[in-house]
Amino acid sequence: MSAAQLGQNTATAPCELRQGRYGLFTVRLFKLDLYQIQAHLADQVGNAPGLLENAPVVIDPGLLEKLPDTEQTADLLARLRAAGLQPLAVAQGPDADPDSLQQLFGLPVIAATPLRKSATSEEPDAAEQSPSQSVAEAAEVGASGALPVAAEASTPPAQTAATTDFDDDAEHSSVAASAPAPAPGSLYVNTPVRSGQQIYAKGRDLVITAAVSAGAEVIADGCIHVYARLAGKALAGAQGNEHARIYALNFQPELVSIAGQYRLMESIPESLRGLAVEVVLDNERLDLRSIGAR
Amino acid sequence: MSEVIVVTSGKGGVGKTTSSASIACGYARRGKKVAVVDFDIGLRNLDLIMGCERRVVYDFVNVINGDCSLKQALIKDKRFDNLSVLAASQTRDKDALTQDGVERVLKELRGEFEIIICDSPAGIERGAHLAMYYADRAVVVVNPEVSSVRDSDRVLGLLASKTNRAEKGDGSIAEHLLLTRYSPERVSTGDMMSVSDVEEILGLKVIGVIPESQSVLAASNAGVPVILDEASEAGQAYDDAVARMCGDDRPMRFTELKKKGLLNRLFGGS
Ligand SMILES: Nc1ncnc2c1ncn2[C@@H]1O[C@H](COP(=O)(O)OP(=O)(O)O)[C@@H](O)[C@H]1O
Ligand SMILES: [Mg+2]
Repeated sequence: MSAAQLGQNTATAPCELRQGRYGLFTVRLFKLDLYQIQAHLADQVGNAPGLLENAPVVIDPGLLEKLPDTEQTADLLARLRAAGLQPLAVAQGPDADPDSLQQLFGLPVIAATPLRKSATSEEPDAAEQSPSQSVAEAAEVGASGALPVAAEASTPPAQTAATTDFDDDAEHSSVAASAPAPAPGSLYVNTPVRSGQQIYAKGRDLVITAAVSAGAEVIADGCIHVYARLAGKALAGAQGNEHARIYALNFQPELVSIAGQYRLMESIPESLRGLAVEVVLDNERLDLRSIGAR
Repeated sequence: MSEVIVVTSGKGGVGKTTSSASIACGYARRGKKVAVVDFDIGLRNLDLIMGCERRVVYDFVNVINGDCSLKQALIKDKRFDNLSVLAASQTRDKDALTQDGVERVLKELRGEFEIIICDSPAGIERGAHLAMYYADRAVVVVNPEVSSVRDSDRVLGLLASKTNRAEKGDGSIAEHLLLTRYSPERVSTGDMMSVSDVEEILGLKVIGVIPESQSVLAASNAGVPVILDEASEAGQAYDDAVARMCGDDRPMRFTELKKKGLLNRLFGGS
């Protein structure tokens, strides 16, 4: 699909910030005008700071004429952060190669939004909704919800199209079916994970003995253990493993997620801050418990 | 053996150039052969702070482009003849610094000097990347406020991953945290983060704490790096920091709220 098909959107803004199915925001890029993108997004964040400040976002480059180069991508990510957003993942279009996307953005790759799945079944709300509407609508969602899980990206395109247009039950079964068995062994990290850095333990657990800073992301298909301060984002069960758990010795994350169910800082009880905490997915809800002797 | 030390931060206006000039003088005063290089193409601040702006003929970009030799471009400091300045270009565009060129010039500097200080531009883009890329050590300048701390954290992450040493697996870059523009008064009223707040968030001990001080501006205007103003607290704090970088043990000063005693009111600290 070409950008022209989106009509008025492309004429006015170089990108669009809209809320996806589960409350996660997507930045859909129309034109690689980096300065305008930053200005546009900064405006949006400024209009709804409580909701959008530091919101995790998926970047969707699928409507661009061509992908940005390495320097433009670095600039783009820096500008999204400068605008107050936290790039979390990149959406994979029908003809993009997930490995090169992952390389380019240094972010996990997830399935594209349904908009581009079939040219005929364009979602009316996706094409026509103005950014301000999407923000207003999103305001009701609050600070917890579900992230699209990476498993979607690994299903064949046809099936993905089906599973993205469906109700929640359909998705959960598809996710459970495609969740791979964890690889033996864990990924061990003994150095700090700092703002802007990301670590992904593919198919296994992630064990970190140093601090995870605000603005850093640690992701595992299995469990995540942080034997220090967890101030960044932690996403366990990234391929949909609902039995994955998160442990942190000093719990003050920006976001925790298991198998796509997530909670943002604002919805984490203040009373748990700084404690040793275990995060468990229980009946599609994240359960946070303090653990260990105090 | 030579050492390349980058002075960096992510955020602008936190005191990188002020610190670069003072650290360079601090090493020179200890007898080291020192060069200090301005990577902030287009701004050219370092030569002003060093007080040699009138003697800039050739600059860093001229050397890279082969318009002159390194020797022609280096400006000898009037106070220490073992200290030289390589100024940034004021006119040319930021892309004038090439990775090759920077590598060549730093290599040549390593042959001549023991300590090479690289004054980084702000940001995390090209200029800042090149300034840190060949470093052996880094001084990360941070102010006691949230956005500066966050930017420093990001820069520490880049130092650990996006430098020549990191990429070659050549051992990590030594990281020093330098907390500047610190005001114990504002910490006590809760307007500013404390030393321990910053240390805890970044997971690093500070190598020095430079108080917010009028003498910094006065020194800049006079073209005398503040470390040479031995009466000022900022100058003394910079000297302590350089001493610690050289391995000396010095107690931290100027981090506690001053008692408002009579003497203090009469002679007032700056
Ligand atoms: N300790 C300090 N006390 C007061 N002012 C300071 C201090 N350190 C730096 N400044 C002032 O802050 C401004 C920015 O300093 P500069 O060294 O140019 O920062 P940078 O190189 O990081 O952009 C200058 O006006 C400088 O005089
Ligand atoms: Mg400067």
